[in-house]
Amino acid sequence: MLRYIGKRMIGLVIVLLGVVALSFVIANVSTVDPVEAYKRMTGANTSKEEIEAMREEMGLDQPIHIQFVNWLGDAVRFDFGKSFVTKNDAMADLLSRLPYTLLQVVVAMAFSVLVIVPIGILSAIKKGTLFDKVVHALTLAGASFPPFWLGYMLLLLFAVQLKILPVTSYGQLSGVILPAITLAVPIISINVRMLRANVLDNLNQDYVLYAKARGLSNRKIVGKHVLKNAAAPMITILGQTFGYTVAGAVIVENVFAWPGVGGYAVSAIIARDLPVVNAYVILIALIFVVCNLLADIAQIAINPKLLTEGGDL
Amino acid sequence: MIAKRIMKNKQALLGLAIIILLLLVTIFAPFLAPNDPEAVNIMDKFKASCPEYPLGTDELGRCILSRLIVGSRYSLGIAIPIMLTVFCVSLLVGSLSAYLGKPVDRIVVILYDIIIAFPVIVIVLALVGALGQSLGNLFFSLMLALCAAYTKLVRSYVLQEKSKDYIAAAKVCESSDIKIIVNHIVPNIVPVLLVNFTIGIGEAIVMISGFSYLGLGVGAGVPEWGAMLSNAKQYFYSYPQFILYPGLCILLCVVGFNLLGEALRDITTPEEQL
Amino acid sequence: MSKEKLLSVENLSITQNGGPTLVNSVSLAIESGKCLGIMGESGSGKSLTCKAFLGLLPIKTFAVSGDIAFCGQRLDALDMRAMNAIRGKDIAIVMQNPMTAFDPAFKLGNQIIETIRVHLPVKKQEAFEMAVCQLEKMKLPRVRELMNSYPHTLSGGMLQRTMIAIALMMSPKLIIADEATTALDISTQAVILTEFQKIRKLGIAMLVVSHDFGVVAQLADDLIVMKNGNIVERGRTSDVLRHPQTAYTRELMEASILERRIG
Repeated sequence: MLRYIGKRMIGLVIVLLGVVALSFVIANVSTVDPVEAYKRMTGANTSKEEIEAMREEMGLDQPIHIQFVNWLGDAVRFDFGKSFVTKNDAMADLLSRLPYTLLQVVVAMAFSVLVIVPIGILSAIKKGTLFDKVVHALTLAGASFPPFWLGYMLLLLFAVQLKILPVTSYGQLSGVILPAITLAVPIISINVRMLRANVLDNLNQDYVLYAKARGLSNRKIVGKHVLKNAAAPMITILGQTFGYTVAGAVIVENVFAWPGVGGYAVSAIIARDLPVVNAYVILIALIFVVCNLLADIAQIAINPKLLTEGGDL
Repeated sequence: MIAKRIMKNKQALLGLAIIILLLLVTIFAPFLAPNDPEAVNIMDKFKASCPEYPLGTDELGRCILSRLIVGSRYSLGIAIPIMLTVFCVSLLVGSLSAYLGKPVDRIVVILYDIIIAFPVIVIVLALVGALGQSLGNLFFSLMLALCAAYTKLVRSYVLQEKSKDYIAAAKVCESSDIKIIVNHIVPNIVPVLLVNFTIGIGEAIVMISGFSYLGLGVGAGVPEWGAMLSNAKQYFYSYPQFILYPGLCILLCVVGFNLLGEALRDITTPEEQL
Repeated sequence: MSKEKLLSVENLSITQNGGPTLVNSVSLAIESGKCLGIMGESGSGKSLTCKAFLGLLPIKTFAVSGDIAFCGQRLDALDMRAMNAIRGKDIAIVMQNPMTAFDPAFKLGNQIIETIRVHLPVKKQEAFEMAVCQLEKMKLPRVRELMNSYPHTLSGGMLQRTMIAIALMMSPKLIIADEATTALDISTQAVILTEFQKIRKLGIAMLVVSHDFGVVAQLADDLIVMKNGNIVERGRTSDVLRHPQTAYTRELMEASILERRIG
């Protein structure tokens, strides 16, 4: 197991290096000239000598490979420079907003799991019944809603019509609910399907028959054996989903004016605030990759068989 | 033979019907729209549904229905070509890479692993952020991200097929690798790929309108559904229907493709044995 | 001692829902302490018949009719809970595919202990000791390691013997062996057959289902031959072996002999 983690960590580092390199490439093909941007920052009219001095200070007069090395060094120290807009350290700005995004996502994931497990299992056991068909239709709809639209519809329903939830609550706990539900709907829809399919697969297996033959009750068979076997592959998926949702929260944060990372990144893009965009990209990549790794490790811990089978892990 | 089974499946037919309807609207949009979607009539603003403007007008007096109809050209007109291109590219690269093995495979895998280390949204945000907001940049970044993701998918399917017995048999008979790929592997993975791609078109439509909603895609004033939704934000309390209508259009598209995709999945998976 | 009928089956019929009849009005009986063999090719209905006794056929797929009585009690009339009490305890089954019979996600010991605790009110530690005792009695190697292993790390023979151990632990009245040797290689088959012979010596009744005459010949007192859901021949094993009444039985015998010659 340790060997596996070691191998994955190396892979992670390689991918992150590639990511950083890619960001460097992107930054350099960008049409934004950092010096010009700095001029905007200071707001003063600068002379040619001052521009040159600026270039030297920013290290932009160095040959490209030296710039790359500097870039790498900075990236490792999480130094992406200062935001053109707020003039604070770009990464620090982002990190201050990260907890809000994470809160949303954690609540959404927790809510999702609570819904997915019982509905997925019941749907499989009651295959073909009205319950199953209704779930099928609902999950199809749920997977089809555009998140930004769903957010507004929920807002309309709960905040405007029913008035049980506040419309805007900048960073307060009560304001987490609607964004979390909006994020949860597609997650639930897709994963209920998957769990149902897994459970059905497992119900057909020999071990279920033998468990019955040994006298185990249906509740025990499904609740202990089938659940573990059906849910285990979903752990990786949920790990990936976590990372994905953190990124996808961009849109939902916009709808609910939630002070998270994504919303900040979008305004940075519109404002051509490159340091922030770079910091955002690396941060999200890091979260994503770490989530995937944790999910894979969790899955192997639950089902050690996978370690010996190798495959595309 | 797949076509026959599609005909028998109610869900597939429903999905297909929706898609065909949407395609017809997209193609014949200018003829179907009752008014000029760009025509600004300040006097007629915020009108309710009436014979002249079946869905009413927006804040600039433009006919909402016309804008929705023409808007289909942006959503479907961008999503479908992108997905078709991605389909071809990923099929090509994925199957060649998987079949040829190292070192080509190694390189391809490292390349796409780096790209898909980011969720699609992030890639698009990064590239658009660096290169500037324009439809072209949106196109390019979406294609890059999607090609990477689908190449990975194709590759994993090809690897599965490659290890099956009939390929070993074919290798004995056939002379060249290309023949095996084209005649045996590709036809066997295309049905499963179709499922992924049909659903992928729906996802692409949501993504495109999502980016336009954020202001990263089409320019202002363009009657694209996501952009219309973004514009409607400011009138959320007074005229919620401005948000409702474009969203419903997007929903309809996605539902259509999802219905078809799911039905295809049921059709192409081998029957379970008793 | 009166030879009361342990298991008595009359006119058992199994139909696939909306489909063909798979088992046609089968009647059989097993006396306590005796062994009945059911012979037939794949598709003869022999496995379905055994599963039907324990109510293991899903109602959605199969319709089962007929009288099934065990120790005088009507099995087909029992509710789920009563049925579960009998399964694994009074009637135990040893299945065909040991490699897939156990849940791959739990250790073997866990699954053995849970079986014990379903039927007996014992604590985990007690159940653990019971299991170890039984496995050691059967001369299985490194028993504690075995309990602590996952099914996929063990061989088919090991798993099959564990299934037998689980069956024996509950002091059953009847053990059903459904093609128990089919998935194993010849040397392991011999080991399992020896186990079954030991079980016979203990006086436990058995129902041995197989397509291999050699297996049935060694274990069964009485014999039934099934073809396409019908019983085509029955009698004492020694009689049937020496004087098979039908051509089909003769063909089966020859096929088994051939199998043994080649394999």
